[in-house]
Amino acid sequence: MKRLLDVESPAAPLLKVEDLSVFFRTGAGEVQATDSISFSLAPGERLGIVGESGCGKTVTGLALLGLLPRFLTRVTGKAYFEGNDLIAMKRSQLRAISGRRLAMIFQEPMRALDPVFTIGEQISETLRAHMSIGKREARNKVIDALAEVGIPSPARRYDDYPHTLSGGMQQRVMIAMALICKPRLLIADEPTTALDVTVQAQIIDLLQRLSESTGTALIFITHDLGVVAELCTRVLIAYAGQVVEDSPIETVYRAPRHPYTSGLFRSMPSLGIRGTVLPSIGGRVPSLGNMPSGCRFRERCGYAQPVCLVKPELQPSGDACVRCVRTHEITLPGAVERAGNGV
Amino acid sequence: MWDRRVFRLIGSSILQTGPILVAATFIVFVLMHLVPGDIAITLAGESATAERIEEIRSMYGLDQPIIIQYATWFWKMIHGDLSVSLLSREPVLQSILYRLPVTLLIVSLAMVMSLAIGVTLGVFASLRPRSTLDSVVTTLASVGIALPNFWLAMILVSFLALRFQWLPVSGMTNPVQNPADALYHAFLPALALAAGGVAEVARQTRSALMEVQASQHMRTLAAKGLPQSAIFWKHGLKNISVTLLTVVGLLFNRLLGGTVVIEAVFAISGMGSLVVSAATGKDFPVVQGVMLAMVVIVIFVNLAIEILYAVLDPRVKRR
Repeated sequence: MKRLLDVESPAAPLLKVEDLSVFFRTGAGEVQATDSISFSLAPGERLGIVGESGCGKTVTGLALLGLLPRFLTRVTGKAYFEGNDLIAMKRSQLRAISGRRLAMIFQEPMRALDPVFTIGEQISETLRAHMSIGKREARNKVIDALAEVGIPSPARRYDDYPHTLSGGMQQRVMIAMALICKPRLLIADEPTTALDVTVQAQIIDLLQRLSESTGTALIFITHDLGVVAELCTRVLIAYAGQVVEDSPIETVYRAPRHPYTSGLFRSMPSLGIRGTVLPSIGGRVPSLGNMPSGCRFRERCGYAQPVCLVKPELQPSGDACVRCVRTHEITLPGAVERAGNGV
Repeated sequence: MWDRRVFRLIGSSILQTGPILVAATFIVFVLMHLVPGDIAITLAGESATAERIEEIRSMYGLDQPIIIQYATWFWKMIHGDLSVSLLSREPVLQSILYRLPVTLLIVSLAMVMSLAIGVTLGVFASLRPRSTLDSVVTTLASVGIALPNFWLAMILVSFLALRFQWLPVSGMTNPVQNPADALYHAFLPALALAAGGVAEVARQTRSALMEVQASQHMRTLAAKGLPQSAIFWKHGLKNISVTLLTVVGLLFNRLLGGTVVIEAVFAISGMGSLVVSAATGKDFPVVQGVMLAMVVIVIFVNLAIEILYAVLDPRVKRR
């Protein structure tokens, strides 16, 4: 039985999320934050989840690890990780795999690290929570891990407190901590948003290198399409709590299938084009308690027709999945095409 | 941990104690002179002549300007002489040293009770916010802060000492001579004194813990797969230790002040009752001596707390 659940053949997905919905309990009743998020992830695959603020991408990541406050949220659906449903798991079962098989890093490393413990101690306790290992041996492993994420003189840094490190170094510490038990999946929730641009690139390179060398799968949550293009092999575009497009990275750049995806690319600045106003998507994301019926992007979409009043489902389309009834009738500009015109 | 940062903190704190000592004892000296009543008349006796009173006044230097009197007292003090009581002729230093252990025992016991009961209540209240236990603790905390401790002392005496006869009604043995019996006698006064402290500690622990629990680094600990107990007792309590230290510092000062009333209720001859009788008799040297002792104690407790701040929270910088 145990063997059956733990199979790791290339065919079996590492993570299979089915109809994951998160509800927030508010004073005025429940509001739905995400609506039936579904996707799957192969071992070692790097998936980007892209969307505007409030589209439910962070909430989805937190829901997978059971990190949403229980008395304020309700999670429905399934998320099979190595065959076991994370959502149905007891706290103790989830705790046994959190940090060991499944890890997460966050947007603001400064606030994600405990200010009154040394970084070494914080990494070491993760290791010791999951493995029977002596303190001395743990220390050596932690120092190796700090070196691995590119922290200079790691033996000395072991006893440093988080506030003495820069943001980039703090995020490296978070990465070392997340990967110390060699997890199969790392969820990175906007890990570079709070960092300087040059540091961002270093962290992205680091994540890519570590993911490739250890075979750790990655879910990279971001609003930055450029980063996703560098790092990921597949991308999930989220809008207003729903997945609107799930495509391989080349496809989405060349020929996006959803008008929202196309709009995101068109609003990306490009060095090739000068002297023109950068296009933007008009209007704003609808609020959680006030979702339009039918297609949620309808009111901001230039291609909307009366047919869009019916709620679209996520449908396969070539090598992608798209939530748009008109996807076969329209041709949408992508990023490559536009850059090609300019240069 | 014990790096230069901590040593500099100790140095600067010690430098500050001098001016505080002078200011505190001088203010008390001046205040004593504003109180009506003349010690020279008391000393001379009821039927003394005006000349006799004048003679006594000049004998004790009471005819000198206040500033000179204070300077004389201060000069002797820094040479280790706290002079003698005007009323009993007993050396002040000796009566203070005899009574100090009594008061310190009551204050320390009250502090231990406040922390032990207060932290426990605060922790359990924060574990289940808005639960019945939480509301009971919060309500008790408000009541505990509002209750005057002399009233509580009398209630405790009438139940625990008079009706059930578990504890002695009053009195105290010197802790130096018989520690066990002194502890037995100190229990009830300490309990009465600690009520406000328990309430304060419980409230602060609860709110600080709830704030820490909502912070992002606590979420990281859950993501790391740490057991709930480690998250709470190791990370939670260390994160609120600075808040607790602040409470301890303020509480210590309040407890020390509170012993004045509590010692009166329980007829205990500690520092509190000493200073009360000296103040009513205008016995300057005794009042000055007790003040000095209290100020020194408060300063050193606060110094210890500042050092602990730096030890417990790596972000505390030297001033």
